[in-house]
Amino acid sequence: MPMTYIESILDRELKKGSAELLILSLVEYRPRHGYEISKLIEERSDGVLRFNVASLYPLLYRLERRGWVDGRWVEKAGQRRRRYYRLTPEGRKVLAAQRHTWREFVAAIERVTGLEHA
Amino acid sequence: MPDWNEEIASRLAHLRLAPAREAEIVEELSQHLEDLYQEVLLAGGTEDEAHRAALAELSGEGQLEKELRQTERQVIREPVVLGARRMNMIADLWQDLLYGFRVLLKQPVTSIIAVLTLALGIGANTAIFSVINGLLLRPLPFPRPEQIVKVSQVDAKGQKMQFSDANFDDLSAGTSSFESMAQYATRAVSLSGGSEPVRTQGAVVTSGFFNTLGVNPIIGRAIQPEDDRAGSAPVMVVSYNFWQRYLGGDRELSSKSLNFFGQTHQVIGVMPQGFSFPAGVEVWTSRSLSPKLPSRSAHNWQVIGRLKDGTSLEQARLEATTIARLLKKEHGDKTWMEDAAIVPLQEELTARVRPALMILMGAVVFLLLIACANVVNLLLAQAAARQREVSIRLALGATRWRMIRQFLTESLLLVLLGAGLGVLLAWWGLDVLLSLEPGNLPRVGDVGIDYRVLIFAALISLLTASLLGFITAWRSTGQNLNETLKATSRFQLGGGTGRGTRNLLVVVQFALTLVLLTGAGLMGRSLISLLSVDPGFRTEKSVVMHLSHTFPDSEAARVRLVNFQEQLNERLRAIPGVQEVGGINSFPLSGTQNNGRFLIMQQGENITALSDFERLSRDPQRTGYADYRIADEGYFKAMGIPLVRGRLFNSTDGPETQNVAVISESLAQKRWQGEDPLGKLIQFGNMDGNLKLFTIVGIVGDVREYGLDAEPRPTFYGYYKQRPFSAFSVVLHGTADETAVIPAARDVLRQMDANLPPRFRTVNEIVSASIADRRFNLMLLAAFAGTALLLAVIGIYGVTAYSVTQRTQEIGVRMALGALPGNIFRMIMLEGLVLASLGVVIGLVGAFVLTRLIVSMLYGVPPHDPATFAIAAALLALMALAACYFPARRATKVDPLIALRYE
Repeated sequence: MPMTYIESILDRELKKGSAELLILSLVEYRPRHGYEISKLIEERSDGVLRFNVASLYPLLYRLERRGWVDGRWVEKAGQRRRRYYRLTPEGRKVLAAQRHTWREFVAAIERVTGLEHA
Repeated sequence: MPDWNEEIASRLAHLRLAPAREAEIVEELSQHLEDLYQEVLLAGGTEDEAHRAALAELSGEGQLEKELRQTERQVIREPVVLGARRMNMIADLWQDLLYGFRVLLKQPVTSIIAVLTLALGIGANTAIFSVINGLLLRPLPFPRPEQIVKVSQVDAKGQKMQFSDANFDDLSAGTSSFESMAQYATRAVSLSGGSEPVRTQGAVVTSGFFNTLGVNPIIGRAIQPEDDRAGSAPVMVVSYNFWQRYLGGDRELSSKSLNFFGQTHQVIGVMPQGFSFPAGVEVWTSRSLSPKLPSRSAHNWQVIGRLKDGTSLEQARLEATTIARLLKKEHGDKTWMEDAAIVPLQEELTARVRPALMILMGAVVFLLLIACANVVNLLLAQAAARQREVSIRLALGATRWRMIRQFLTESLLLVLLGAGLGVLLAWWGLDVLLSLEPGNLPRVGDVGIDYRVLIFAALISLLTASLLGFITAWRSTGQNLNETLKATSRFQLGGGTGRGTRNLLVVVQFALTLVLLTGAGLMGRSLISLLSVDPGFRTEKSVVMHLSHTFPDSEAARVRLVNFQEQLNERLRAIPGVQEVGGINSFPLSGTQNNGRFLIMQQGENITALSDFERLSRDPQRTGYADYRIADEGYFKAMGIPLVRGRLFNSTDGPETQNVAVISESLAQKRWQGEDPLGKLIQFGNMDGNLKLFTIVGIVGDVREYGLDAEPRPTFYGYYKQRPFSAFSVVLHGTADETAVIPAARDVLRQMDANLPPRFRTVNEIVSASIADRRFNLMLLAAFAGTALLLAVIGIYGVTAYSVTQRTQEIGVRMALGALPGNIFRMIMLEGLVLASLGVVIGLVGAFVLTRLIVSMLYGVPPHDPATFAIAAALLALMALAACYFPARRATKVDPLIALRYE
């Protein structure tokens, strides 16, 4: 189903605003590699949210540079090595703050638009 | 499977990321695409669909590049994979150093062994170089020292000799090359008049002496031209230490005078502290007591000169040669001078030790090379273990040069540690070395570690480091990945990095070691043959007391002297345990000796003046040449010198009877071959001015006067009571121990004359001191050869042991295929032995060529002595066998099952 112009803008802006939160949440409890992160986002959002390589990795690198996640090459028997990202203590604080902000934002939207929980 | 790397890399190309960072991103992204591709395939998609799905991930109008440009902009400080292309030398060096340190620390035992080995090599080089530096390189401690030269007469045979007064005067008057020239002659002197009587080294010098050296007294004045004249009041300049010790450091010199040779010498000057030339001299006297002799063959003077500014050595030589030729033409047989030799003083002073020092320097360079070979072996073994690391870094884009630099830095680090330790070792070793040195080194006070030595140490360290680093790096970065893989494949026979290089190093080590061993062996055999040489006199239980009497300048003084000596001998003979006492004017093996030409006279014939002596001596039929000694009747018995024919001096000989003489066998043979020398009349008055004839009454055995390695010289002995002499050495021999005799003899002398200071030495000490140089050189060379042997053995052991470890699988396969432990043992031993033998053969050739250089230091053994060569080779081979035995044993214990399972 092709997206309309409005839809595509909404999609992009929403993603942009939420992307950091999504990634930080996914590596909160265990380190994950890039492919796993993209798969999980796609699966858990039932295919609504999708990041391709060109957007996911630059974002990961940016988070890493800010010191919120820490990427490390890990070798496992019989596999090529992969880069696993884990949440840093600083990233943990950022995640908590972003969750709080997002929650307030959604609540505000709900109050304004009168949308109900699905 | 599609290659994603290229797809991704092409999209990153414009970003100009650091290569390592780019590689990382490419790897991560291509991993992602690969995962996606595989998933589509698993879900039942076609390869084409999978490919398109993966590529879709990268699409989006340069999105990847745009996003990455933002995130990767500040990437410059990202750590870079070691060895990647970069242009920052300093940062690289620092990185290499840190990395090098980590590598060294990872293998502490290897590193410590390497550092110690290098310290040994560099330390030995530094120590020997400090000696060379102090003796040969450091300028003499005089102003403009390069202008100071030693001048000698040269005779028809090209032999250098001292100057006669007449020749010196003519030469110095004729030459214009010199700013100043001076004569000097050293002698032992006994001085009284100071705080206590003292026996020391003195020099008679002419007025130009101090000017020529460019050093003036700090107190008082130097010896002036008017002091040279015969009959002027004798004056004396003393050394700073002498002034402090015996004159109380009193600045008022006018009240100071010292006595010797029965003459009062006014002290007129004090030299600056440290001034001592010739070495050991403490007092310099004017020549007022040594009037000029007209004879051109009275070779009594050493001569120094200072060249004029701008006059070259060659110009001075040319001029001196011209004058010498003119003098020869003019005076014919009266002068022996055919030419004059002019040699820089520094060269002259060190000429005696130069060959030995050069040989020792060669030996330590060999030692350093051997040490380097061992360290290279260690490093190569280590590099083999690092092959994977090197391959990875090369694959990641490190250039070979960059890797070589890494290895160079590492070896530099090792060498620097080794050099630091080595210089400490040299510093400490020098003290030991100089304390063992027999006291015959000139300028020993100038030996020490100065900036030149440190520069030398730094230079050889740099050289060593480059050698080590290049060989190691070249060997371990030379292979490409393919070869490395092949080399580690399990069935590669004799695999392992740089095995050929390591074998070559062992061969070189063995060759160098054999040369050193042979050299040490030859010198050892020389010393042994020297020790078995019969000096011609007894050495056990014998003490020598050296005395310098007042010069007997009148008949009465001569009588007093003879009586004194007779009484002294009497009392010395009364010391318990002393049986024989006898004296001579100059003891064998202890320095300058008198010799000269004598005349053979007919019965009833004699001369009345020394000028007649000159005239008659032109007839070779009636002249002879001999060493001239004055001995007493007890001397030959006390020394154990046998009487061959005739008789010795005895109580029938007195001042009034016919003067008698005893000659040595070699003189009898040389001058009177086929004749009977007994009863012959000899005129030897040129030695002491007494023209009475000698009658030969006896022939005694030969004595090696000039060294155990010098053939005995024809010697003539006059009788003490008839021809008294001021310097006397009294020999005491008996059953008593030397240590008991010396204090007793000292007491006897003190009771007789408290102002006559004696000097005691045992005959054994004198003989031993005469070969001390050889012993010292041998000791050093043997120490270096021993160290070399040790290093070579460690070297071959290391290579064999490492080879066995590397070839565990190969050995396993051989055993599985039926090889017996004995075969394996033989194989490993044989390989070690082949290396050792190759080294030995090359070493034999090297030794054959190089031992020629030490001919001058050998005695009683030819430079190509087959026995020494054989023993050295056998010793080395035996050590090699022992070193290979243990690894070979271990090889036989390899269990084929375990070896083959092990990967």
